[in-house]
Amino acid sequence: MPLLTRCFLKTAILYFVASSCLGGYLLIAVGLQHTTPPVLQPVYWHMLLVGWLMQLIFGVAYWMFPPFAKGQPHRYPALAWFAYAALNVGLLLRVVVEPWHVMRPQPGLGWLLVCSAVLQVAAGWMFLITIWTRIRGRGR
Amino acid sequence: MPRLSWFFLRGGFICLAVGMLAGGLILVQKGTGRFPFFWVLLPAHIYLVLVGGVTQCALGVSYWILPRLGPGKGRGNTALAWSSYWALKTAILLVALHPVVKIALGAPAAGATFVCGGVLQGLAAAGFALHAWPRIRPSQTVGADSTFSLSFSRRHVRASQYVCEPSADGPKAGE
Repeated sequence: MPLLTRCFLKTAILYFVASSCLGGYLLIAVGLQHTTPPVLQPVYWHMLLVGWLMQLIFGVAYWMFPPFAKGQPHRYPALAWFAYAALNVGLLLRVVVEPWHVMRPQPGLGWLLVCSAVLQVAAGWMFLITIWTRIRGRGR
Repeated sequence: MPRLSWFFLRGGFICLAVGMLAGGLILVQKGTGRFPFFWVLLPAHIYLVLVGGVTQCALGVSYWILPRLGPGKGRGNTALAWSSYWALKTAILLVALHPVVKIALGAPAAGATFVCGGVLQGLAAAGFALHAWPRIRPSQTVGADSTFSLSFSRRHVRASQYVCEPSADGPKAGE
């Protein structure tokens, strides 16, 4: 298993645990009829879907898709590492800044959300470029 | 990797990237408070990531790695799987184009794209389920439990401690 896949999968598992704790807290709050900040809902869903599920897909795809060429299993490995870093920095930025921005708005804080958006979108497109040539095969 | 998996996976990764772009624009709106019309992208963002991205990737990998039906039968009813692919693709396209339809033709027309997309998504799911159902069964040959690793590459097979022989089940080496 390549190092990048191990990084993707271990980070994904950390997000799975963290998002499950947050989801559990939100569920308990609903059960006990306590109010929670509504901004935690999108944070929870993005930790679960981007942090856990998407990173799991990226990690497994990078590992198991057919090699790019003989002796060169991965095309643009640096780009794939960039996608990993950008996705995680972007997501972490969102997880921290979005509730902060909603609950205690300060001038300039919203631009960190813009940075988060740019990083996550860039990560998605970089990974698409990395994996594209490895999605191929033969037969029906 | 069979051609249909290739189509599903390439489509899936494109949908993920486009869905992330739509989500990024919504996040820009949250951060800056400008461009409130970006919220029209929310249904497309959710649909593209969950159905277009995650579901298509799952279907593509399933079609590739599920055991085959046996010699001469291959992957079973491939026409059904292809119909499912085209139905899902049309549904995704309809929902992705929903913001454009809403701006150009109004809310009733945009609602109609959701209705058509929903029907096609249901048909796609049923079609793929009918195709995949008989393929979800115990493996028949020695080493078939390791067929998952056979699909990676011959290099992985050599590195494996198990004796793996390409069989009628699952993906074949080098696919």
